[in-house]
Amino acid sequence: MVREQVRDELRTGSNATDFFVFLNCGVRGPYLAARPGSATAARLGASAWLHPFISRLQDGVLLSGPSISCEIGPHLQSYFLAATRRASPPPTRPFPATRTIARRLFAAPVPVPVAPPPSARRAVEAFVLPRWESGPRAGYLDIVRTGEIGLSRAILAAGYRIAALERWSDDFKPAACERRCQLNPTLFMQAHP
Amino acid sequence: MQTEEARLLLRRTLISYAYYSPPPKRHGPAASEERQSTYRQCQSNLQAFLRWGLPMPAESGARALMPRVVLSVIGDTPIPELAGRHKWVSVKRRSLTVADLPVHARTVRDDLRDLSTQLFLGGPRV
Repeated sequence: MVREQVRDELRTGSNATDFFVFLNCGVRGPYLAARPGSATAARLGASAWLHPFISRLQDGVLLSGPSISCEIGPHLQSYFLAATRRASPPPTRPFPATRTIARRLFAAPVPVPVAPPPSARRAVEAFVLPRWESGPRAGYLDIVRTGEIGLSRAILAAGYRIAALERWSDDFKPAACERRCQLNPTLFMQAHP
Repeated sequence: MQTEEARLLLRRTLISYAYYSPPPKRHGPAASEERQSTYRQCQSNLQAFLRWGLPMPAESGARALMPRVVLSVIGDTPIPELAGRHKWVSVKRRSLTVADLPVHARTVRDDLRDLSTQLFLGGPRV
């Protein structure tokens, strides 16, 4: 029942906002922006750099970004993500249990520290992890596993797809990581330009 | 003039930008140099995003149609200079959290005024 409801919501989505772009200030760009004053800029304006990401959000692709990494597990990295609530067709596999990693993330209250944390790592351990049900022994890598990697994993597990700008990730399936590269292709490109 | 496709896309898009660049006094001298370099890079990256991603009409030649942008200023980070983009960019201060997802989740939940972010995830509404 829940599965059918969610599918219907994803298909029809009553809210006017269909596309969500998440990024932080660790990201530089957009380098896809049309040159100011060009015909493309005049035609597409601010959407010139959004279009390559959002145009991939179809045919079951729920999340897109610049690149896909296979490090630890297949996931979009980081940290620029475009998401949609209108992915079609519906997933090919049944939804997993409702307690997905990503559901926990969005359902959880935003942590409110009582004092400025002395370091990022300690902030994670003090304020974030307990609320993510990761346990008191969890570390910084657990945040990466549950948040960055876990979001893509939850989407793939739900039968949806992820997509990136890289050509090798066209029609990406998780098995591609095993066949082609089990590490981080972006780091490889940095090391071997 | 922008195409109808571009106009539709922009109307239907919400951008959540998490910005963290606390003032120098927050940090001790030992680790401050590297940290400050990172935070300066954050400031520079935000300005680049504004310049290239949200060009002013006079700069791009396009009409003033932009996506909605929520700039989540984290912790006690000073409010950045938006260079006249206040029409498109709304600034909200968020609690400090290392992970980005809780910050973005709060932004989307505020914007939609419900828990529709569940829809990304295959879970039911709560």
